[in-house]
Amino acid sequence: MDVMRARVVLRERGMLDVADLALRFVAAHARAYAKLSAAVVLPGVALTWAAGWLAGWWAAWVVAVVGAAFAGGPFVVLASRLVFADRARVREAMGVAARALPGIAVVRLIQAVSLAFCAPLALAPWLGAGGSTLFVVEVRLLEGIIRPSAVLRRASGIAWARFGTTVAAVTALSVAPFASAALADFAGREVLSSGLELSPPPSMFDAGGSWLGFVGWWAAVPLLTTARFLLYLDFRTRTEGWDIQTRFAAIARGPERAAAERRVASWRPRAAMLLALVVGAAAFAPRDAWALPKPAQAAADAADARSAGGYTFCRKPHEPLPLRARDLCKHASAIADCDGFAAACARAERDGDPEASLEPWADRLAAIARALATALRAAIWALVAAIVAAALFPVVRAIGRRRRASAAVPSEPGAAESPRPVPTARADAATLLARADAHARRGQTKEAMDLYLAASLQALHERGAIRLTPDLTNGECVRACADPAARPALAILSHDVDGVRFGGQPAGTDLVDRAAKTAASLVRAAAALVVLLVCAGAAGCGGIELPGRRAGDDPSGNELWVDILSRQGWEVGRLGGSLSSIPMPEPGSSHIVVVDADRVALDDETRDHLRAWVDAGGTLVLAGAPETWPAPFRPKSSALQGSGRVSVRVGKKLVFADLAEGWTMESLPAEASRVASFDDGGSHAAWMPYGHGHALLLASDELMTNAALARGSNAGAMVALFMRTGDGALSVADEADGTAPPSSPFSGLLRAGLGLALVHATIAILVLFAASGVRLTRAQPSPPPPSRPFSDHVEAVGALYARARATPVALAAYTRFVEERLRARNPRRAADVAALLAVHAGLPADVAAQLWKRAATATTQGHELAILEDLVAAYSAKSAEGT
Amino acid sequence: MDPTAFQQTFSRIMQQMATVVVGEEQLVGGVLVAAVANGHVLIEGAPGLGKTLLARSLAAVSGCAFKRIQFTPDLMPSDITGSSVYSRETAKFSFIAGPVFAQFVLADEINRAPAKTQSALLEAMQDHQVTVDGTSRALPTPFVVMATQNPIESAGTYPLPEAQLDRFLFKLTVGDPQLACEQRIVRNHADGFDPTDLSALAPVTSPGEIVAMQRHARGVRIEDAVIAYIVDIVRRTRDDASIELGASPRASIALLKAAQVIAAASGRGFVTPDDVKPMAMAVLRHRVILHPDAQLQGVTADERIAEILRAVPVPRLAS
Repeated sequence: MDVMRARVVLRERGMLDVADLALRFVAAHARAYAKLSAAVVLPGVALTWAAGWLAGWWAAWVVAVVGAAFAGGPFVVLASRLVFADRARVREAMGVAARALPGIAVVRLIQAVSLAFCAPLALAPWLGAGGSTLFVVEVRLLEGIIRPSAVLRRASGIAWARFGTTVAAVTALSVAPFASAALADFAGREVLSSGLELSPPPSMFDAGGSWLGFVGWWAAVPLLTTARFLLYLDFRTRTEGWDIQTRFAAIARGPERAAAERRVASWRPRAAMLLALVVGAAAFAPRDAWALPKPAQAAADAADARSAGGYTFCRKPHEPLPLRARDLCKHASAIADCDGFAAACARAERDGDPEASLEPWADRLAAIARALATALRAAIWALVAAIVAAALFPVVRAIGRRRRASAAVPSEPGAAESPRPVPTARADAATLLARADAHARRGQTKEAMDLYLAASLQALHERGAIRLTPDLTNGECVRACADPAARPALAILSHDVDGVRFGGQPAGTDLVDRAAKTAASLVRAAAALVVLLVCAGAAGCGGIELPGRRAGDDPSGNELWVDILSRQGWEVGRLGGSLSSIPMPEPGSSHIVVVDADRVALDDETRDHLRAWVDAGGTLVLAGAPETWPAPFRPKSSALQGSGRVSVRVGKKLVFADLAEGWTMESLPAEASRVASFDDGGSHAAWMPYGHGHALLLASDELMTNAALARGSNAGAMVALFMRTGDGALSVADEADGTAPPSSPFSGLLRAGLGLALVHATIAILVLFAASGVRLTRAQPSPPPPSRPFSDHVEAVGALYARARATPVALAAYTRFVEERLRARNPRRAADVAALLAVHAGLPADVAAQLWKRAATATTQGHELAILEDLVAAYSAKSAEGT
Repeated sequence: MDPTAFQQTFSRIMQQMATVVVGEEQLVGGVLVAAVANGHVLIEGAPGLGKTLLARSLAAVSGCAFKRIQFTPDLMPSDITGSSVYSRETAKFSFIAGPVFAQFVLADEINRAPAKTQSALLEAMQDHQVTVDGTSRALPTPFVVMATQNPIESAGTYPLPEAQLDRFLFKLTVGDPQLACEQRIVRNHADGFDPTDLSALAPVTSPGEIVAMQRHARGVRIEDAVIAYIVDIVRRTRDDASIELGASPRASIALLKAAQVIAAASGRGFVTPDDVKPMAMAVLRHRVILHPDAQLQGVTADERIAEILRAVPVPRLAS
């Protein structure tokens, strides 16, 4: 089982994501699932059909429900194996499930009782019981918990850690089998009747059951069980952290280990006999995976590597020598054919104290960095200002437009609008300059002068020095030019062009030449600026490769160390991830992580994780400054002893290493045992068991550098030290691996020092919202309803009164209304409203008088609406337009 | 007069004026341009902002005769032009010249006199002559009328008729001085400056030189493109929706004259759009009549003219 090759990415998943993953998971392992289904589902279908045939569909339902409750066990085991293992055996899955069958039966019985008890009460208790027992099978099978109460407690704890998802899952998993049965019944009957033209069985809804439906029921078992298992995995991933996969591995390994132990116990006498044979054979058999390292061979390996690889640190080291390489200069004279390194050391020594010689550089670099930081800060402010300006611009423009719109008098239809300049496509400065040159060559000097000025103005416009609009005069352009360097030249050019253009001055050759030079300088300054920006951008993006160091040319590099270990049989590779997130090791795994604390800066979170990782069984090689190591491995102090010889014991032999800078560890942790020591007894390296794992502690990383390993027997000593770690793959941490990845994008930004930028961005967003969002969210004034004619008004309001059963009120109101309107329309203010109505409506006087009398004196209940209708008809006959 | 002499004289007058009229270079320049362009100026501003001092100072530095007429509701036309008076000794009518017979005439608070009296200035301003009793009498040269009016008080005032307004080359507005300028003004008074006594203000030019400058300015070259630009600006005042009555062709001529003086003052013998645009506001603001609705909505003539100037493209490329 290799957790690094898990088939499922353990990350937080939603319900739909889990369902989708389950489908793909089953499809990806269709063969295994088919085998297991053949062993579990087909008998289930047959048993159900038999029960239905023998005792009726009710018995079939009982068999189906009970059988599915137990049939899921093997699928859970199979899925758990397939998630974390390359292969899974169907027989094993069935065996594990069969052994846990009594326990599952008990918890399922409890589950059934609780569900049956809660079913009549209400939905909520039923969901509660269903949720509490949702993962009982997984807990019983995968976590090895036997006692039913513990299983229920554990399953309940897992499930209710995520209330909403659990409720949804219980609902979905309860409904899904029935839905599957119904779907299979419906689809199967359709296929039989329409596709195969066979007589379909009765519908399960009519007959109370159907063998098609039970096929669908049982077919859903593998998928739904897998989905539930993946949901269980998701819950545990969320609630118990990312190391669940390793815990799973341990859980899965438990029965295997127990079985192995049992096998060992039963075969112990015979094993003892075979042991001698195996050991003897091993002594003669070639090792194909990991040959035992040979420290004595290491020096030769180093020489071979240097002669085969591109190691130039001896012949032509990278200069100036890094500080760490200068510390290794004592090796230069002791290494054969290392004149280049020795000469570089001599030059470095002649240049004085490295740190002192670097001080001015450091100061300059710091000054440059400060200047860059200031510029960057200014750029950020400028960016923020630009964003704010860009956001405010539409607001100001809208306000101005509104003011202008309110100031402008609504023009008469057909009145001439104020003519606006028609925007025209504007040629770029280079094109205008080329056209000007062409005119100048043809002798059209006046046009050339104009175009030179136009090119210059366009160039300045493109640079942002002026904002060229059609209404700007040349003088205004000069005065508005924001580039003080360009302003005098532009003023002269403008003066010359105006003289030719408006003053009738001849455009002589001298004048044209001067204009051409001025325009060219202004136009090409813009181009130069663009080129500069492009170069800066390209350099920033890695577009320009600056000369740097090459692999193997640094005496303090570790390329030779990697090379030697590889030649000695180790598998060495980059860690390729953060030290703070390396997965917990499986028991018995042989994963080794090498951390050079001088190269890799460790933060607190990473130190804690490394400690936990070693505690869980990992093997850690810690080299470099002990002060930065995780606390349990840290000696009380370390001291520089100067150059010296270190001895490493390999079996009964001692291998020696000559160090340029001997660092010793004082007061090692109690559990640590010394594995490399100086002649005077100082400890240079120690081997320390911690929890289930181990740590190899090296007081310095000198024995991992090119220069040190090229000298004498140092390579052998290094190999002897690393033999302690065993035969696991070595993962070497890079400089960036010591920092824990940010937990969220915000913390990442804060860690990168962009907190202020985040604030600025937030402010910019708020300003943008204030500029545009508010405008969008503001309620738009609804257009006023079109004026309705009087009859519509009467109809609408009359309907209201009718609903209120207040028709006398309606009639009285409209009678008053009609009277007022008629009186208002009569210039003489006549008192006889009936006569007015007669004139207005074109009715005979007596009819109008009768109508008005009925309207004004109506007291009879039930006739009001009729009178109202007559009044409305009479009034609106002619007055609708004027109302 | 050569362009350099024109420029130097113009500059000299400006410098001399700056010793008396503090912080109003733009106003002084406008009045001087109008004088050299042979035009008249209507100055609008609150009382106490130095309008009278400006007129008297300009007359003093240019060596011209100055007369002031305080316009009141009972002012008669003859009080301005003069009238024929019967002389008992000679038994004849003899003409007594009115205050208009001066080279710099300050018509103070011109809108306080009725239209009939205001109209007495029409002939003088347009034809530089006065006709009294059938006899036309030429006015001295140069002849510049500087009229003032108070924009605040409206009681007892008579708005100038359009025909009268059109005779003014510029309408200039004078605002409150800036802090430092006002402090300098007060300091000058504390140091003994007497605005009524400008005897210390030595003339730096002469009426003849002013006339020569007027002749020189009229000869400044102007291209058709610039004339088109001027006409375009003026014509757009007639098409603007907020303007009820746009500027007349006299406004185009006024703008041309002003631009010529500006070009000459810059030492150039030709007019560019740069000379036209700054003068457009002063030339046009009193020649347009806003639509009543626009007036009610607070739109000003200056705003509309500024918008028109933004809309008119400047002649830049020949092709």
